[in-house]
Amino acid sequence: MKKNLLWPTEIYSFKNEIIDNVKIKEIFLEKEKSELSRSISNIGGWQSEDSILEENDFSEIKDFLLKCVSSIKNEIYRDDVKILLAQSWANVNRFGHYNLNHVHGNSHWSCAYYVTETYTAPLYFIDPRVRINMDVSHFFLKNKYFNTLGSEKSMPGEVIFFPSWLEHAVAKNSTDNPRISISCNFLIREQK
Amino acid sequence: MIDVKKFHSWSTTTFVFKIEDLNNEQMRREILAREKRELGFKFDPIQGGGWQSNKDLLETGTSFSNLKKYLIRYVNEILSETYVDSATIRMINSWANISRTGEYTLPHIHEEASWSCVYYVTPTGDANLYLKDPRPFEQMDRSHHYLKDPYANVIRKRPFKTGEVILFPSWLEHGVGTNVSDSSRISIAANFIIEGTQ
Repeated sequence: MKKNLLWPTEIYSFKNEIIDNVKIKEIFLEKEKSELSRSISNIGGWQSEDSILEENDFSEIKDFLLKCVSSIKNEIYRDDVKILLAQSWANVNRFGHYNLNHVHGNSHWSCAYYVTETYTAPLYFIDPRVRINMDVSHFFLKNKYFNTLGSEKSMPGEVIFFPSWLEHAVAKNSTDNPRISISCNFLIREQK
Repeated sequence: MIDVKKFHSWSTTTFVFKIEDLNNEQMRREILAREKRELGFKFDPIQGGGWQSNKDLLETGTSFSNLKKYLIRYVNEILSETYVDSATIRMINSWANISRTGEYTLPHIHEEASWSCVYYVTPTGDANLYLKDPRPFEQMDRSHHYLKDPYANVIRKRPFKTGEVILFPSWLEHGVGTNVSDSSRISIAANFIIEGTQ
């Protein structure tokens, strides 16, 4: 008997031990006080404008994320294409805040970099195989809840890369600690 | 060197196995005889044509009793790794398919079941069973054009030999390519449900 595992959805995680996330956290908490928030998938919380990594304070994070996404690009895409950072924004979710499930429709790859740990509010992904949800045999699986991923806590310096079409959400922060992350979108383009 | 972890999430599992010692010639003749006796129906050409038997195939006649026994045993063995011990796996229906020159089967699912299998009474030749990527959002990603293997995600297909069986989730969309040979392509399909106390 041969068992075939078809169409896995690939998710990557990286970790940076050098970036000073305590300092980055303080910068975002100041911005939260002085800059207006965007309102997209976030229910509550503060979300910056979408070019945050172009600011000098965050150049080290930008360089790290570009290095990570380039390694993904080199693994799966042709050599004659490049990958570009298209948008980047910061998120501060305080007590009771969360993000509804959504996709990033204007992008190919996305990431979430953690400035703080995620506390009780992990990023989670939703099984992209829509029809499987109609199968009532789920009730009898040995591992019933395998098709939702992301119950694990992420720590400062960790980043998760995922396809932008993969539906995802952020659980509710039920602590008094601000949960701070940076999200990015990347595009694959032909080399000119 | 970057420290990276890669996760392969939500793969769709299929199983392929072979049943060696069945009388495929006898089953082939019996299926063709049932077609002559009109114990089934003919698909409209716009649906690809082809003939399908009534859905009680493995319950009727002695020609198929060994196949039924093997399918139930192997499917139970394979799926026991997936389901709790108290669950039961039951075959709910089974039918034969005949595809002649120019005939094919459109993509479809088996909505009444949890797992389905196909046993090949004859080789498939070029008329492969194909399985479609079940992740609809993924298909909207234009970066596919730039992948090193650009068509890996769309469809999986392969030929099967006489005696081979594929077992797959019933919700997985699948179809059969056009039979371009002069030989009849004959297969037997079956559906299974998982039952028990929730």
